[in-house]
Amino acid sequence: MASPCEILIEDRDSRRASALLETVSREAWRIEAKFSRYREDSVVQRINRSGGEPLELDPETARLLDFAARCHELSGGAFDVTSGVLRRAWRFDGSDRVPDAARVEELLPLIGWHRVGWTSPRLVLPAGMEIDLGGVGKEYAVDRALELARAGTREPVLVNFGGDLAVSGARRDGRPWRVGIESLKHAENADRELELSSGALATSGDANRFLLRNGVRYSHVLDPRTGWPVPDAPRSVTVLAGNCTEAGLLATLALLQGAGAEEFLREQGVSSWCLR
Amino acid sequence: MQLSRSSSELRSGLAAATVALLGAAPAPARATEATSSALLYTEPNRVTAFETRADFTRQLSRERVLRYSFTLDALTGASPNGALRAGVPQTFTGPSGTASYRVAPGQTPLDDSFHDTRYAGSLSVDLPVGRLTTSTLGLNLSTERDYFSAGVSARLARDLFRRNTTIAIGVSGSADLVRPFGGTPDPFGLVSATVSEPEDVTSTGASGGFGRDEGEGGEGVPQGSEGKQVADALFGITQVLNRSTILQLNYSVSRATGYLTDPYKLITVAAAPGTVNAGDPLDYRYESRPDTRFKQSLYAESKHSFGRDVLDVSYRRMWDDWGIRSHTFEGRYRLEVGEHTALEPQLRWYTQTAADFYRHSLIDGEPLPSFASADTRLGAFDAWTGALKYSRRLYSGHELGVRVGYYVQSGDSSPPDAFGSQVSQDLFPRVTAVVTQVSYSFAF
Amino acid sequence: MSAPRSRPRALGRIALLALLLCPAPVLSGCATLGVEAWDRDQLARPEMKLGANATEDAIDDHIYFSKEASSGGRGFGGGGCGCN
Repeated sequence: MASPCEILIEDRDSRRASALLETVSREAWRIEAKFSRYREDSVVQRINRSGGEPLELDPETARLLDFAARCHELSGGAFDVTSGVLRRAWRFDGSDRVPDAARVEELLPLIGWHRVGWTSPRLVLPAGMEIDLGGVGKEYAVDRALELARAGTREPVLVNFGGDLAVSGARRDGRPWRVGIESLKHAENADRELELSSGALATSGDANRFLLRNGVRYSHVLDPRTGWPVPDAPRSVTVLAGNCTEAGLLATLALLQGAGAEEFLREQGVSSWCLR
Repeated sequence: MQLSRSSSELRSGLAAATVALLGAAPAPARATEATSSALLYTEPNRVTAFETRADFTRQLSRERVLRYSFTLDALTGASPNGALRAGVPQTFTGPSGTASYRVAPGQTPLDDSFHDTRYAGSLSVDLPVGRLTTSTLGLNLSTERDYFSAGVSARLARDLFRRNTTIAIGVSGSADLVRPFGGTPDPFGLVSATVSEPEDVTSTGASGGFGRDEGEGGEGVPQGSEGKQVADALFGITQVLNRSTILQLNYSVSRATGYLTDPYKLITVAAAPGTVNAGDPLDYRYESRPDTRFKQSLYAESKHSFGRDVLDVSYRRMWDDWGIRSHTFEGRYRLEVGEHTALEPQLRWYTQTAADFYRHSLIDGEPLPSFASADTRLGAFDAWTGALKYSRRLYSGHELGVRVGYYVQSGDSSPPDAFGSQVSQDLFPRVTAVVTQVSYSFAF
Repeated sequence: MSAPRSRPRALGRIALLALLLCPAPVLSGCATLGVEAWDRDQLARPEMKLGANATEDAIDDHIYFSKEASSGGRGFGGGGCGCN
């Protein structure tokens, strides 16, 4: 989670608030340490280095993989935690270095959750494949942190991990939290601030990651089934839902719809904002 | 690229997967919210009621809500017995049959023998029926020495149009038992009372309670019992009009059958016009009301927020087959002053027409009507209520509220059909009351 | 810019226009009934809920039931006591 994290607790008792803050931050760091693909000692690294050998996973990781498997199924393969391998071919640095088709083609056999042997809690990840839980890890951490905060206090709490956030309820005076949406800062015709008295907000996408070649803009949203960017994907999608995990997933699935993102979100009946 | 599943399947599948990941759906942090309230209702020189109430709301899960309440209600002081003011002293026997009380000329006849305590409880639960429909089931019990009531209710509410509209249908029924002190009086039964001559100041009340069905119980013990059944149905629609306005419309019907008479209310039998003491009370009879009543009402309420402040207005039209029609207008404005404090002025105006059988007195020598009541609550009158509420949000979501209100009810003091000595009397004395309420809300 | 925003914005202008034309705030809803989920900030406040103060309503209903010939309307008919 290479992004600023904050937890707002509306409490006059600063000692109680800081004790709670510590509990919640510890949980956030624990989740980051466990699921980061950049950390040598993480579960994800252990999985990615298993070299095709079966692994027994702990219940929490198993629940996350169950969730990933279900999302893969529900999205018809559009959401896939094994798609990170495509990073070997694609670097969205604003340049014009679009990889050649052959390079993308040779990566495709390493992508696809259907190739993975998963019978909870036993995982067999074929050699050369990788998983990346970055797509759900941060939102999961927000929900976990809020749950912990709720267990520790009755005061209103807002958990914000790099723009993915959730609130425990309205503020003490009954008014909603006012939340600024960074990703919509430069969007015209969109409120940059919204009021939130329940639920969670998650954003998928990154407005600054793309490639540009011969006037064609290649978005960083890659379709795991083709290995190529989804055409006409919004730069980012922000979704308001009951919890952060659900909001994040809906935002990601919307991005994968490309030009149909807005319509997809409308069909889901959620409040959302697309930046194009 | 298209998803392989329909959107609703995707959304519900995703929700289920999320719940599996995060454990049960996150329950609200505040499991039970409680409001306790104490109320003092005082009519100067008359009745005083002290009511304490506790309401609890427990969130069982996101959609299941349990509500329960307890009420204790103590009544002391004197109530009008229905007889008219007169130019002569009047003596009445209390409902217990032995105690008697005297009323001076020009004073409202009040019976101060009513001291009763009411205990009441209610329970209701909201249960989801599908994603957009909620059912509410309720139970009410109330008991006092001379009255018992048990009721059940059921309500279904469905959200429509992105939850901007809610339609509701509800039914309720109650079975009540009236056990009047001193037995159930016969309709139009003569009351054991004497009218004293002005010089006869030592006159006492007649003995015995003839006119009442004598039970075998002792003094002050309710005797005999009468039943009363009430069935209600309600149709409602709630509509979000815009970002800051919500409107509710209800139509309800209510049918009561059984003993609808007030067993303690009397009606004066006045000397006929043209006689020497025309208009003076000669005797008293118990009142008699029909044994069915069918009421209908339309109710509209709207809340509008002006920034932080909230305006709440409502109107009710009620009509029934007793000939009573009423209008009720009510307005409240919640004014936020400072960060944690609000002031709320409340104003209410009520007006009703009289029941067809309402009359201030019977005339001696005339045949008895089918029904008659001199209970001013069935007469024509207007009433105003003005109140001011102060509320303050305290630490940890606790909230304190204090409300002081004044109620005044006035009817026609000199009705055109008054005659003889009645003309110089106030035949509809004003009712005034001061209501003070303190409430405290918190969560645990 | 993005499609989901454009519709409510247009409705917002209609609502504003209606507010200016209609005599009472209640009637401003005639042009556009209802709001989207993200415009419920005002409606979500506890004091904007109908029946937000159930205890006070119950107390008032009890008082008026014992003093007047009308009851109910907001909810079921009240009563259940020998006070009327």
